[in-house]
Amino acid sequence: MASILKVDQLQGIVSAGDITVTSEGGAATQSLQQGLAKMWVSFSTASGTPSAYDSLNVSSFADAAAGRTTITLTNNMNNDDWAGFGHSSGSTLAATPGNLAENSAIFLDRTTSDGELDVWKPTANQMTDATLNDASIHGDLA
Amino acid sequence: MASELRVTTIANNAGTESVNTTYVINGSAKAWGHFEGSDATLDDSLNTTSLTDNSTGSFSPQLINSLANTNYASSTNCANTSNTASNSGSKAQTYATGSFNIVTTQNGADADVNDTIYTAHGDLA
Repeated sequence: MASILKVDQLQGIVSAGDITVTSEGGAATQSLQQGLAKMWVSFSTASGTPSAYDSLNVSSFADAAAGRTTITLTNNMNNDDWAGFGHSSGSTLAATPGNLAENSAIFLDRTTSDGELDVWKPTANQMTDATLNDASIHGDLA
Repeated sequence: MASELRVTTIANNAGTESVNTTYVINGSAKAWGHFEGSDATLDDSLNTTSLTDNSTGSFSPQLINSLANTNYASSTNCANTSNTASNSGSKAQTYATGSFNIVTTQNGADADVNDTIYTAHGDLA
């Protein structure tokens, strides 16, 4: 029988920040909080000013330079060793083979409150703004 | 005292947002980590007991709880310190239920690269 739990906040009993979930196979348990993405964002820098399509836990952007966007978090991370991913399309949304492979993106300058996503265009040998940039963070919130 | 709650859906109190618990459990990362290739030491991680330094530019996170199969989705990324994303790269390969291999390169050659990160999504055993 289906059941629905309606709450606004989940907390562990022994430790408020630790709720365990049973694995899909039933052989292990793992922290619910630690497995959740703590930030995700899809945004454009095509106009030169970062603009989010949608996001979680992002308070603001700062345009550090062409292809370099500082993403500031609403809730800080616990340390600067978080795992952050970035991806970037080309300068248009056209799904041409060259466009799909045009850019690479990485996080640099990580702090507990922000990270700089740098987008590189190898064919031009320079940082570049792009229409579609994606980023996510896994790690522990403060 | 530990307690267990079994539900199909979790919703906010207003009932305006909800998610099936399948997405909560299956959609959560089952492992993630951050390490510097230069010292092959985990700076922070989830569900990773150790990091094996196989050779230059080759590392294998060893998982605490194994995945249910070898078809899980792993992502990896790395960054050198020159603020250019062009000359470093990484990939995940050789998927086993208890570990996988990360290869990092710089300027087209295998190299130990700093700020190497990974995640694994899939089903735990």
